[in-house]
Amino acid sequence: MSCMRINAMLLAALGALALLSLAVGPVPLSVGDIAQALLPAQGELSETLQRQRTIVTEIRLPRVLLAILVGASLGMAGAALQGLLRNPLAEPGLLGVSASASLGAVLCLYFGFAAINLWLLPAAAMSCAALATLVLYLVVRRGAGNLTLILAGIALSALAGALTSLAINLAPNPTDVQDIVLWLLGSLADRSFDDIRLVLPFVLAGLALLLSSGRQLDALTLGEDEAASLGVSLAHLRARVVLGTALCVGASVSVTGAIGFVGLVVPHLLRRAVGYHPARLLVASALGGALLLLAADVLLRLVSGGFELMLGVVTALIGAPFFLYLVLRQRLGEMT
Amino acid sequence: MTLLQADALTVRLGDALLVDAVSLELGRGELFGLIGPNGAGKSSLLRALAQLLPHQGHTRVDGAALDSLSPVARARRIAYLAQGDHTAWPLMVRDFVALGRLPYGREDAGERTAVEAALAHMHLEALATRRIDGLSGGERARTRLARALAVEAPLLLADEPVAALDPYHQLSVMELLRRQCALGRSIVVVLHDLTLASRFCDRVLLMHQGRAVACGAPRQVLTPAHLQQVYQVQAMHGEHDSEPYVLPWRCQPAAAHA
Repeated sequence: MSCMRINAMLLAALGALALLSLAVGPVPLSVGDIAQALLPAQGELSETLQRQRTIVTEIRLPRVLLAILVGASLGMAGAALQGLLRNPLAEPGLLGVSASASLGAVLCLYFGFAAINLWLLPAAAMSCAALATLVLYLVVRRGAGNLTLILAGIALSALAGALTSLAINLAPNPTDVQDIVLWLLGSLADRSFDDIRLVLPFVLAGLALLLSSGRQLDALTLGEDEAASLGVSLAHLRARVVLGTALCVGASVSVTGAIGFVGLVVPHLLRRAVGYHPARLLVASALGGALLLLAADVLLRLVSGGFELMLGVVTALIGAPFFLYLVLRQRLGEMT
Repeated sequence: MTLLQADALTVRLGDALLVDAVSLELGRGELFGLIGPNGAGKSSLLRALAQLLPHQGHTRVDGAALDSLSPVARARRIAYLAQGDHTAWPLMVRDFVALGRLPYGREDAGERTAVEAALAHMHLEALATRRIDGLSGGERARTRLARALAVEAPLLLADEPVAALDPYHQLSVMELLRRQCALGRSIVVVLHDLTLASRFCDRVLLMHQGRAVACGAPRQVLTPAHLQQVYQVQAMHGEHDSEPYVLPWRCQPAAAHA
């Protein structure tokens, strides 16, 4: 199957799911209702129509768009990191990038910076994500193998997790604790267009950086020396992927909290279909990530009934067993 | 006519001197062997020639100083095949070979013909749509060579391309390299097999502890004295089909000889 066809299929599924996501909820809406709500208003609206319009444009649409944006970010960042590190186990979450981004955001919440300026929380999340990616990059540059890299990722995760726990531990009052914990669980609920406006530039810049690395990631299939002999500057490539990942993951984490395993699972599922091409995997994983996150969000709203399940919890509940399955299934030779 | 000219290449790693002022010159269509025991500095010299290692000394290809060229311009002049197989993902053979076209950018009019020619040279047409992880060791070695040929660079640097291959594939890869030279390409190849070196190479450079010990026609370089001094072995020298062979026969440490 050609790569274009796979992307087209993913895109079609994404469109259908987006529509479904706009339709389901406490107030079920038909496709006609949604179309009417999205189109410019014709004259005076009835109270029902006005209410439907509010539900679609102010509650559900931001949620759908954010799911797509964050899913695409996590999916592509995972694919790019796996390409750069030449390792199917690489993932922003597994390597401590997400945990570090969370730490940045939590520190912002803890010290109350988040209330001072809207931009401080995403900035802190992205800086910490960049710092973590930089550490990983230094580990890789010293010629460390995959095992060392994953150990370094675990160490980073543990450190960021411990500091996050410390912030919760020392939080002056219970509301702060609740704010931090709820935020950490990861969610797309109650997000507005303001949140989208906040992260869109960073996510787009990050995606563009990662996309521009495609051909070089392809060359890296051959190993570092042969890639360099083809004119690839490894230092530039690493810098682009590190920065792109930090922007994507940092920005995503800053609005939705920690959502794990999308970056690991999606490239895995699609790699074979795109012929193992690291470059082709980038776009496919972005679409696949958006699809997965949107699907998880719809599912969660369908099954959770009265109370809101947290999205990050659900993706980890699905992702972690899947990851275990991958580890068990993979032959030893492929892992190292 | 000279294609490659390297002057006093020196590679240091910390305090260790890996390559000590080695110079070499290579003509068009020449198959040039780099030989020497493990740790002699062959791979370091090759990587320095490919500009993959920080080094002192100058290299010119086709008259152009390599350090004055952009990485892409350099990549179009030198194809490099690393020692060992580091392939990360099991691409399809044709896609894998096409990676050699990276220096030509996205709008590469020559890609199709270059890839098909490289596949044909390495007798891989029938395997073009197979995945690389399903190939035998010999087929994989030929695929990696085809990737390097697809660069269409006048100079190919290959680090032990026949290591870990059975005798049939060792000979077939060497014959394929020979044929590339007949087509005008120049090749520097690192070899451990002295018979392959003496049979197929126009000239060889014998290295020992980072230095060039001797350079010239295989018969002049692979002498009993050199083999004893550098490899510490005694070898059988002979001729078959009027071509020379060298068969290492027994260890002969320097002390025992003295």
